[in-house]
Amino acid sequence: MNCRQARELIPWQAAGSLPGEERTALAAHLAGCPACRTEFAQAVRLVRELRGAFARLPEPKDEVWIRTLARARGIPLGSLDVGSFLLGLSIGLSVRGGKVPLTGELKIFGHRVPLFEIEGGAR
Amino acid sequence: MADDRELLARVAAHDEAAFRRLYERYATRVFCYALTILRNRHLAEEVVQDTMVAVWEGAATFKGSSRVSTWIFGVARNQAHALLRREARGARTANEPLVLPDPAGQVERAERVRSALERLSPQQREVVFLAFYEGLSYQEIARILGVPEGTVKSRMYHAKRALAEVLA
Repeated sequence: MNCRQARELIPWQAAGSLPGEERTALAAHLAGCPACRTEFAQAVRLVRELRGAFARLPEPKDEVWIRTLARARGIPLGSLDVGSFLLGLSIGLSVRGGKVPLTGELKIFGHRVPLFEIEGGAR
Repeated sequence: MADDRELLARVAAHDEAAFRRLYERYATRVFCYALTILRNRHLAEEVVQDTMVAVWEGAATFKGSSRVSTWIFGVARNQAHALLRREARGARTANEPLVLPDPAGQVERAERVRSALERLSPQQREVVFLAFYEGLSYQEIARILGVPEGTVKSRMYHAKRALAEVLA
Protein backbone atom coordinates (compact mmCIF):
# COMPACT_ATOMS: atom_id res chain seq x y z
CA MET A 1 0.00 0.00 0.00
CA ASN A 2 1.36 3.45 -0.90
CA CYS A 3 0.64 6.75 0.85
CA ARG A 4 -2.04 7.83 -1.65
CA GLN A 5 -3.96 4.57 -1.11
CA ALA A 6 -3.52 4.87 2.65
CA ARG A 7 -4.86 8.43 2.71
CA GLU A 8 -7.97 7.35 0.87
CA LEU A 9 -8.67 4.80 3.62
CA ILE A 10 -7.63 6.87 6.65
CA PRO A 11 -10.95 8.76 7.09
CA TRP A 12 -12.87 5.47 7.06
CA GLN A 13 -10.54 3.94 9.64
CA ALA A 14 -10.88 7.08 11.78
CA ALA A 15 -14.67 6.71 11.55
CA GLY A 16 -14.39 3.03 12.51
CA SER A 17 -16.04 1.55 9.43
CA LEU A 18 -13.11 0.14 7.44
CA PRO A 19 -13.52 -3.59 6.62
CA GLY A 20 -11.06 -6.08 8.15
CA GLU A 21 -8.73 -6.75 5.23
CA GLU A 22 -8.21 -3.07 4.41
CA ARG A 23 -7.91 -2.25 8.11
CA THR A 24 -5.04 -4.73 8.45
CA ALA A 25 -3.26 -3.41 5.34
CA LEU A 26 -3.63 0.18 6.53
CA ALA A 27 -2.33 -0.68 10.00
CA ALA A 28 0.77 -2.22 8.40
CA HIS A 29 1.34 0.94 6.35
CA LEU A 30 0.81 3.26 9.33
CA ALA A 31 3.34 1.30 11.37
CA GLY A 32 6.07 2.26 8.92
CA CYS A 33 4.94 5.74 7.79
CA PRO A 34 5.13 8.66 10.27
CA ALA A 35 3.55 11.09 7.76
CA CYS A 36 0.43 8.93 7.39
CA ARG A 37 0.29 8.43 11.17
CA THR A 38 0.12 12.22 11.51
CA GLU A 39 -2.61 12.23 8.86
CA PHE A 40 -4.50 9.55 10.80
CA ALA A 41 -4.28 11.49 14.08
CA GLN A 42 -5.63 14.56 12.25
CA ALA A 43 -8.50 12.46 10.82
CA VAL A 44 -9.44 11.13 14.27
CA ARG A 45 -9.68 14.71 15.58
CA LEU A 46 -11.69 15.75 12.54
CA VAL A 47 -14.19 12.91 13.03
CA ARG A 48 -14.63 13.89 16.69
CA GLU A 49 -15.18 17.56 15.86
CA LEU A 50 -17.60 16.88 13.02
CA ARG A 51 -19.62 14.44 15.14
CA GLY A 52 -19.94 17.25 17.66
CA ALA A 53 -21.06 19.63 14.93
CA PHE A 54 -23.66 17.21 13.54
CA ALA A 55 -24.91 16.50 17.07
CA ARG A 56 -25.79 20.21 17.35
CA LEU A 57 -28.12 20.07 14.36
CA PRO A 58 -31.69 20.90 15.37
CA GLU A 59 -34.46 18.30 15.62
CA PRO A 60 -37.69 18.22 13.61
CA LYS A 61 -40.71 19.81 15.31
CA ASP A 62 -43.09 17.49 17.20
CA GLU A 63 -45.92 18.31 14.81
CA VAL A 64 -44.01 16.56 11.99
CA TRP A 65 -45.03 13.22 13.54
CA ILE A 66 -48.69 14.25 13.61
CA ARG A 67 -48.58 15.27 9.95
CA THR A 68 -46.70 12.07 9.03
CA LEU A 69 -49.24 9.83 10.79
CA ALA A 70 -52.16 11.68 9.20
CA ARG A 71 -50.65 11.16 5.75
CA ALA A 72 -49.92 7.49 6.48
CA ARG A 73 -53.50 6.91 7.65
CA GLY A 74 -54.98 8.75 4.70
CA ILE A 75 -58.36 10.50 4.63
CA PRO A 76 -61.02 8.38 6.36
CA LEU A 77 -64.18 7.80 4.30
CA GLY A 78 -66.02 5.78 6.91
CA SER A 79 -65.69 2.97 9.42
CA LEU A 80 -67.77 0.32 11.11
CA ASP A 81 -66.99 -0.47 14.75
CA VAL A 82 -68.41 -3.40 16.71
CA GLY A 83 -67.68 -4.52 20.30
CA SER A 84 -66.40 -2.33 23.12
CA PHE A 85 -63.22 -0.59 24.30
CA LEU A 86 -62.07 -3.88 25.84
CA LEU A 87 -62.54 -5.99 22.73
CA GLY A 88 -63.77 -4.80 19.36
CA LEU A 89 -63.42 -4.95 15.62
CA SER A 90 -63.07 -1.94 13.33
CA ILE A 91 -63.42 -2.01 9.54
CA GLY A 92 -62.54 1.23 7.73
CA LEU A 93 -62.31 2.71 4.27
CA SER A 94 -59.94 5.59 3.48
CA VAL A 95 -58.19 7.41 0.66
CA ARG A 96 -54.41 7.06 0.81
CA GLY A 97 -51.87 7.77 -1.90
CA GLY A 98 -54.51 7.64 -4.64
CA LYS A 99 -55.86 4.27 -3.43
CA VAL A 100 -58.88 3.31 -1.38
CA PRO A 101 -57.77 0.55 1.01
CA LEU A 102 -60.23 -1.40 3.18
CA THR A 103 -58.63 -2.11 6.56
CA GLY A 104 -59.62 -4.26 9.51
CA GLU A 105 -58.30 -3.87 13.05
CA LEU A 106 -58.83 -5.75 16.29
CA LYS A 107 -59.13 -3.45 19.31
CA ILE A 108 -57.95 -4.90 22.60
CA PHE A 109 -57.99 -2.60 25.63
CA GLY A 110 -57.72 0.38 23.31
CA HIS A 111 -54.69 -1.04 21.48
CA ARG A 112 -55.20 -1.51 17.73
CA VAL A 113 -53.90 -4.69 16.12
CA PRO A 114 -53.99 -4.70 12.30
CA LEU A 115 -55.86 -7.71 10.87
CA PHE A 116 -56.00 -7.12 7.14
CA GLU A 117 -55.73 -4.51 4.43
CA ILE A 118 -57.24 -4.90 0.97
CA GLU A 119 -56.01 -2.34 -1.57
CA GLY A 120 -58.55 -1.11 -4.03
CA GLY A 121 -59.40 1.68 -6.44
CA ALA A 122 -56.09 2.62 -8.03
CA ARG A 123 -55.82 6.22 -9.11
CA MET B 1 -36.35 -3.98 22.50
CA ALA B 2 -37.35 -4.84 18.93
CA ASP B 3 -34.60 -4.40 16.37
CA ASP B 4 -35.09 -2.39 13.20
CA ARG B 5 -35.99 -5.42 11.07
CA GLU B 6 -38.68 -6.56 13.50
CA LEU B 7 -40.11 -3.07 13.63
CA LEU B 8 -40.09 -2.75 9.85
CA ALA B 9 -41.88 -6.11 9.49
CA ARG B 10 -44.59 -4.83 11.83
CA VAL B 11 -44.76 -1.54 9.92
CA ALA B 12 -45.29 -3.59 6.74
CA ALA B 13 -48.41 -4.97 8.47
CA HIS B 14 -49.41 -1.35 9.20
CA ASP B 15 -48.89 -1.56 12.95
CA GLU B 16 -49.05 2.10 14.08
CA ALA B 17 -47.26 1.49 17.39
CA ALA B 18 -44.29 0.01 15.51
CA PHE B 19 -44.42 2.92 13.06
CA ARG B 20 -44.22 5.37 15.95
CA ARG B 21 -41.15 3.59 17.35
CA LEU B 22 -39.45 3.47 13.97
CA TYR B 23 -40.23 7.17 13.53
CA GLU B 24 -38.69 7.95 16.94
CA ARG B 25 -35.54 6.09 15.92
CA TYR B 26 -35.15 7.69 12.53
CA ALA B 27 -36.91 11.05 12.31
CA THR B 28 -34.05 13.11 13.74
CA ARG B 29 -31.43 11.16 11.79
CA VAL B 30 -33.32 11.57 8.52
CA PHE B 31 -33.92 15.24 9.36
CA CYS B 32 -30.19 15.85 9.92
CA TYR B 33 -29.30 14.01 6.72
CA ALA B 34 -31.85 16.02 4.74
CA LEU B 35 -30.53 19.19 6.35
CA THR B 36 -26.99 18.43 5.14
CA ILE B 37 -28.35 18.13 1.59
CA LEU B 38 -31.00 20.87 1.56
CA ARG B 39 -29.78 23.30 4.24
CA ASN B 40 -33.35 24.34 4.94
CA ARG B 41 -35.25 23.29 8.05
CA HIS B 42 -38.73 23.49 6.54
CA LEU B 43 -37.73 21.38 3.53
CA ALA B 44 -35.87 18.89 5.74
CA GLU B 45 -39.07 18.41 7.78
CA GLU B 46 -40.93 17.73 4.55
CA VAL B 47 -38.34 15.09 3.70
CA VAL B 48 -38.91 13.45 7.10
CA GLN B 49 -42.64 13.23 6.34
CA ASP B 50 -42.15 12.03 2.76
CA THR B 51 -39.58 9.45 3.86
CA MET B 52 -41.59 8.02 6.72
CA VAL B 53 -44.79 7.85 4.66
CA ALA B 54 -42.80 6.06 1.93
CA VAL B 55 -41.48 3.66 4.58
CA TRP B 56 -45.05 3.05 5.81
CA GLU B 57 -46.25 2.32 2.29
CA GLY B 58 -43.16 0.45 1.09
CA ALA B 59 -41.96 -1.48 4.16
CA ALA B 60 -43.12 -4.75 2.57
CA THR B 61 -40.73 -4.18 -0.34
CA PHE B 62 -37.65 -4.20 1.95
CA LYS B 63 -35.70 -7.27 0.80
CA GLY B 64 -33.36 -7.53 3.77
CA SER B 65 -30.18 -7.38 1.69
CA SER B 66 -28.95 -4.30 3.56
CA ARG B 67 -29.30 -2.76 7.00
CA VAL B 68 -32.64 -1.05 7.58
CA SER B 69 -30.77 2.22 8.15
CA THR B 70 -29.13 1.97 4.72
CA TRP B 71 -32.53 1.39 3.13
CA ILE B 72 -34.18 4.29 4.98
CA PHE B 73 -31.36 6.71 4.14
CA GLY B 74 -31.69 5.64 0.50
CA VAL B 75 -35.41 6.44 0.63
CA ALA B 76 -34.61 9.77 2.32
CA ARG B 77 -32.09 10.68 -0.36
CA ASN B 78 -34.61 9.97 -3.12
CA GLN B 79 -37.21 12.11 -1.33
CA ALA B 80 -34.72 14.95 -0.78
CA HIS B 81 -33.74 15.03 -4.43
CA ALA B 82 -37.37 14.81 -5.58
CA LEU B 83 -38.06 17.82 -3.36
CA LEU B 84 -35.04 19.65 -4.80
CA ARG B 85 -36.39 19.08 -8.31
CA ARG B 86 -39.82 20.42 -7.27
CA GLU B 87 -38.16 23.42 -5.60
CA ALA B 88 -36.10 24.07 -8.72
CA ARG B 89 -39.33 24.48 -10.66
CA GLY B 90 -40.63 27.01 -8.14
CA ALA B 91 -39.05 29.71 -6.03
CA ARG B 92 -35.80 28.49 -4.41
CA THR B 93 -35.78 28.78 -0.65
CA ALA B 94 -32.71 30.45 0.83
CA ASN B 95 -30.03 28.32 2.49
CA GLU B 96 -29.78 28.49 6.26
CA PRO B 97 -26.74 27.99 8.51
CA LEU B 98 -26.17 24.24 8.75
CA VAL B 99 -25.26 23.83 12.41
CA LEU B 100 -26.59 25.63 15.48
CA PRO B 101 -24.04 27.73 17.40
CA ASP B 102 -22.25 25.85 20.18
CA PRO B 103 -23.61 27.21 23.47
CA ALA B 104 -21.08 25.35 25.62
CA GLY B 105 -17.90 27.22 24.77
CA GLN B 106 -15.12 26.62 22.27
CA VAL B 107 -17.25 28.88 20.13
CA GLU B 108 -14.50 29.99 17.81
CA ARG B 109 -13.39 26.46 16.94
CA ALA B 110 -17.01 25.28 16.53
CA GLU B 111 -17.63 28.20 14.21
CA ARG B 112 -14.65 27.21 12.07
CA VAL B 113 -15.92 23.61 11.90
CA ARG B 114 -19.38 24.87 10.87
CA SER B 115 -17.86 27.15 8.27
CA ALA B 116 -15.67 24.32 6.93
CA LEU B 117 -18.71 22.05 6.58
CA GLU B 118 -20.62 24.69 4.68
CA ARG B 119 -17.78 25.11 2.20
CA LEU B 120 -18.08 21.48 1.11
CA SER B 121 -20.17 20.60 -1.91
CA PRO B 122 -23.54 18.96 -1.02
CA GLN B 123 -22.16 15.66 -2.42
CA GLN B 124 -19.12 15.81 -0.15
CA ARG B 125 -21.17 16.94 2.84
CA GLU B 126 -23.59 14.03 2.65
CA VAL B 127 -20.70 11.52 2.44
CA VAL B 128 -19.08 13.14 5.49
CA PHE B 129 -22.40 13.03 7.41
CA LEU B 130 -23.14 9.39 6.56
CA ALA B 131 -19.56 8.28 7.29
CA PHE B 132 -18.67 10.31 10.37
CA TYR B 133 -22.03 10.74 12.09
CA GLU B 134 -23.94 7.64 10.99
CA GLY B 135 -20.83 5.45 10.90
CA LEU B 136 -21.74 3.89 7.55
CA SER B 137 -19.07 2.14 5.49
CA TYR B 138 -18.14 3.36 2.02
CA GLN B 139 -19.89 0.28 0.59
CA GLU B 140 -23.16 1.23 2.32
CA ILE B 141 -22.86 4.86 1.26
CA ALA B 142 -22.22 3.81 -2.36
CA ARG B 143 -25.45 1.81 -2.21
CA ILE B 144 -27.44 4.77 -0.81
CA LEU B 145 -26.02 7.21 -3.36
CA GLY B 146 -26.16 4.77 -6.27
CA VAL B 147 -22.55 5.50 -7.26
CA PRO B 148 -19.40 3.31 -7.43
CA GLU B 149 -17.45 2.78 -4.20
CA GLY B 150 -14.47 4.57 -5.75
CA THR B 151 -16.58 7.69 -6.19
CA VAL B 152 -17.50 7.66 -2.49
CA LYS B 153 -13.86 7.24 -1.49
CA SER B 154 -12.86 10.05 -3.81
CA ARG B 155 -15.51 12.43 -2.43
CA MET B 156 -14.35 11.65 1.09
CA TYR B 157 -10.68 12.13 0.18
CA HIS B 158 -11.33 15.58 -1.26
CA ALA B 159 -13.75 16.51 1.54
CA LYS B 160 -11.18 15.62 4.17
CA ARG B 161 -8.50 17.64 2.41
CA ALA B 162 -10.81 20.65 2.16
CA LEU B 163 -11.79 20.36 5.82
CA ALA B 164 -8.19 19.96 6.92
CA GLU B 165 -7.16 23.09 4.99
CA VAL B 166 -9.78 25.22 6.73
CA LEU B 167 -9.26 23.71 10.17
CA ALA B 168 -5.44 23.41 10.17
